[in-house]
Amino acid sequence: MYADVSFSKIMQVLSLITLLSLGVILTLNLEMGFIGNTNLFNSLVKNNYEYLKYKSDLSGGGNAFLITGLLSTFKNDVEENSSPETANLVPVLLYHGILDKPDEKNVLLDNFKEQMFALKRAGWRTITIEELYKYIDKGEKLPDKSFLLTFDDGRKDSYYPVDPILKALDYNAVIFVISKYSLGQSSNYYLNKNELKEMLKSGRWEIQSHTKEGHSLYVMDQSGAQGHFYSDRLWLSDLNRLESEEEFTTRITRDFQESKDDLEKALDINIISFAYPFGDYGQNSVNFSKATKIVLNTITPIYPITFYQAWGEFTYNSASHKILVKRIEVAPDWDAQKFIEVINAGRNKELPFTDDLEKDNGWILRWGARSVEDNQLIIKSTEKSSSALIFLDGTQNWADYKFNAKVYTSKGEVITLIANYKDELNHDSCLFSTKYVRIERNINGTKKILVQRKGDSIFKGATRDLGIVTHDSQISCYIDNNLIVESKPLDTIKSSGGIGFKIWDPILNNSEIKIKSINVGPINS
Amino acid sequence: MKWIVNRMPKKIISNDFKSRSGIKFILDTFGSWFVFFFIIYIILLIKAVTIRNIETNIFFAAYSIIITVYILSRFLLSYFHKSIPYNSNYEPSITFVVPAKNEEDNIKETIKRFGQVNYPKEKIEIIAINDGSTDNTLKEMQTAANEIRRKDMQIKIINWEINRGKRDGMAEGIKRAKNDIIIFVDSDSFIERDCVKHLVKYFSNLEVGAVSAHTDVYNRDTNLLTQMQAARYFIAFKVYKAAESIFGSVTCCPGCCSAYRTKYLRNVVDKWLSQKFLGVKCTFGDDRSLTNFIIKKYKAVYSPEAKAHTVVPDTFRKYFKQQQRWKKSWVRETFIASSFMWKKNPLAALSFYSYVFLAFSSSIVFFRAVIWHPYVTRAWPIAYLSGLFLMLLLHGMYYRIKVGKRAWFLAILSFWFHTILLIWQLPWAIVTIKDSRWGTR
Repeated sequence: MYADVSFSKIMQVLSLITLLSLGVILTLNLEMGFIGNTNLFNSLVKNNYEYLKYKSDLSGGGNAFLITGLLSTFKNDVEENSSPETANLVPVLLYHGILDKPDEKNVLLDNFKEQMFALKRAGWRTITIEELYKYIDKGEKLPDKSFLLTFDDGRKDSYYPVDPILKALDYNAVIFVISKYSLGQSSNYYLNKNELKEMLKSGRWEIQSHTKEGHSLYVMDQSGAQGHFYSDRLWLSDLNRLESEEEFTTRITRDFQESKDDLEKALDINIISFAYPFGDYGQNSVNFSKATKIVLNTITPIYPITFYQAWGEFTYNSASHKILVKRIEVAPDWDAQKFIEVINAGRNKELPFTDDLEKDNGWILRWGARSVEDNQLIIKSTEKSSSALIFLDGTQNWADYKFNAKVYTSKGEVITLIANYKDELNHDSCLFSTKYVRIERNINGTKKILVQRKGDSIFKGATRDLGIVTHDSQISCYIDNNLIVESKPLDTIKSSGGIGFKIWDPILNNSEIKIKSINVGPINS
Repeated sequence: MKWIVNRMPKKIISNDFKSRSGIKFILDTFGSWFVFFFIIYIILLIKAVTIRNIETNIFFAAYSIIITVYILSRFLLSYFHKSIPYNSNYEPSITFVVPAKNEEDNIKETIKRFGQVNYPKEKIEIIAINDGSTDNTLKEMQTAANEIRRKDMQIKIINWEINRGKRDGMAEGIKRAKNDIIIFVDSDSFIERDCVKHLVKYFSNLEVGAVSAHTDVYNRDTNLLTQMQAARYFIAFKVYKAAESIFGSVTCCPGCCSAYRTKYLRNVVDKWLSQKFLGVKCTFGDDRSLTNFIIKKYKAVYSPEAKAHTVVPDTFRKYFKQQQRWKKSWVRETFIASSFMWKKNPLAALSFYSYVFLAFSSSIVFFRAVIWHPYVTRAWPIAYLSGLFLMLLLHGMYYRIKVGKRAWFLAILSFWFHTILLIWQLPWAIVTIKDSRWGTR
């Protein structure tokens, strides 16, 4: 060896190499931040720094978070007090970007962190898309307090701020990406292929499909009005007509298929689910009433499980074999308390159930107005409505029960107690009015009067104890614990569903009741 | 960065920068090195981006990465290269061997310089071979010989009426040499006085079979072409040979001035003389071929202090022919060397095979980058050409720092131009490897 390998020469060379590589890394970091690529500095330094910070926060560490964080990586400080019980219902949370500065649409990082920490401390655990699929489709058991965490659009700001939190909490998440953007040209907004691969490698992220082309608005009539890709027939300007049903079907089928194929090929993963852009699977269609049916028919063979944002429905999902999975879209103005209220409200309520109405236990308003004040639940119609409907979240699994409510009637013609509530189109009810007491059954929006008894049963300015009993498929109505009417057993299928109230008056803004207490007790057959 | 400044002054002060004041000098040198490393930084940036997009084309990305690692590692290794000190207790006897054909302009000076070396006269023997020259070479030789003899030194002139070729001349020298070390000097090369001392000092190690001197370009200031070659020679020796020399595996001890151990040469001279490749007798690339025979068993090193100067082609036509000849012998000898280089030091072997891969891929890469890709995409091959230029600029900066402000930039520019112009020579050399028409100069 004709070489001078003195210490000083080696140190010189090493320091130069360090200097050069540091320069390169820092420059690339800048450049990649600029054109929006994987952020090397971020993934090497920032991510781990934040992870330690969160880890330390979780274990109650103060300013010396680097040390407490490091220490806590070796032991699990948080009591995993998840109960051995199995979950009756499973919530799916939806976020988009997680931001540092408010934009009125996305959740702030501080709030997101608080929300995740609150869930962790309350013993919640995340599940994978596969676990959710097995739960929904095959009814496989999940531990109580299981939830699926999802992010839509495949934005960079869904990944970078969130990942250290997931790592610290040992959580995982699903991100629904727009294949056209994430597999296409690099941008500084959407995650690119390399980033997605990195995410998959971490084991904390699952990638699923959000669409290929369907995240934009498209022209759907001659005037240029814009509609949704999957729910409206598009305007073919060169042919000067709307597309046919067949063209619509071909178009959406191709997009469903291509998005799945492209992602599977590029990332070597299985795509089993799809999140509808705008949460619209056809139900919001403007010009095509058959959209929902066609969408659900075409998507089923491609994606066994699909997601939408539910408003005015039970917030949790039950094991129902349904292809449509509901998600709770976390609003930017929810603080940690509001978030916990929403999460708790959706949980399965046990029978017997008493609501003293000190606080809102998850009454969901479909229309009209409601408030919880002075230990009363107040329901009103509004200036635009002749009626109001609310139901109680977390009751969708109930069956065979007696539902009693002490109701003070301020005004209005009909007070309705609802049982077996699945949605506004499917429920049973006892209607108490000035003219009759009636039992009605709504199936897919078709109203059927089962039995009716004439006579005034409503007492303006007075408080009455109204009751409805559902047992097997039989409904009966009570006033002050006296049986008024009773239906004959109808179906062989056992009814189930939650409780609710409806009020009605022929005049707008002329219904109001104040509910003082609610009792629901099980009926054993 | 202090060290950079510290290790620089000696050479430059002694050459061009004597008159400069201290501070200005430091700024100037510091600035040059800064630019040098800034170029490396830019290159690394480009390569980092290449690595990120390596999936797009694995072969071309790999080529790009390997060539960068190869070139940068040459600079790095050459920085670690160390020569050994001269030991006056070890002074083996030497024989200069100079085969010459039609060299009436230079031969006298070449031989005269042998008489001026700093080495004990009684240990020097000179063998000059006139290989069928048709000009006054023999006469010039004899004039020089008389001068030599007047200094009581031994000189032998062998006169061949009919040209036999350089290899035969060298072989004749090997057979007739009486001394321990043979120093081959081209008839158009001139050695400096201390050249011999610094060549022979390496032979104290019995593993060493050959030593290459450092050769600069004598006619550097003739035109841009010779200036370009001057830069190229300087880098080829100071960086590339120095890097190879660390492991004693210099692949070519050039004919302009290299020393060999006579005993080792005698063992291979017959095989070397009758060397055939693909059934054709080898008539050029004698130096690379001889080195190959030696490094199979022994070490070949580079002595930066042993200095010689050589005359390089000053017209494009001559340069072009010389390059084509070199490429052919390179292909042949590399093919041969590939069969045993793996036994050498792992790093040396890795360097060697990397270079082989790069050399053979270069024309494919060039074709794709400069012809195919622009044809398909209708875009200028700016990335490739500027990348190539950046690499050469790095070499140019090194040359400028070490030698001083000459026409270094133009030299590099013309080197870049010639690289592009002559890129097809290698594939052409492979195709015409059996054709030895360009064998004689």
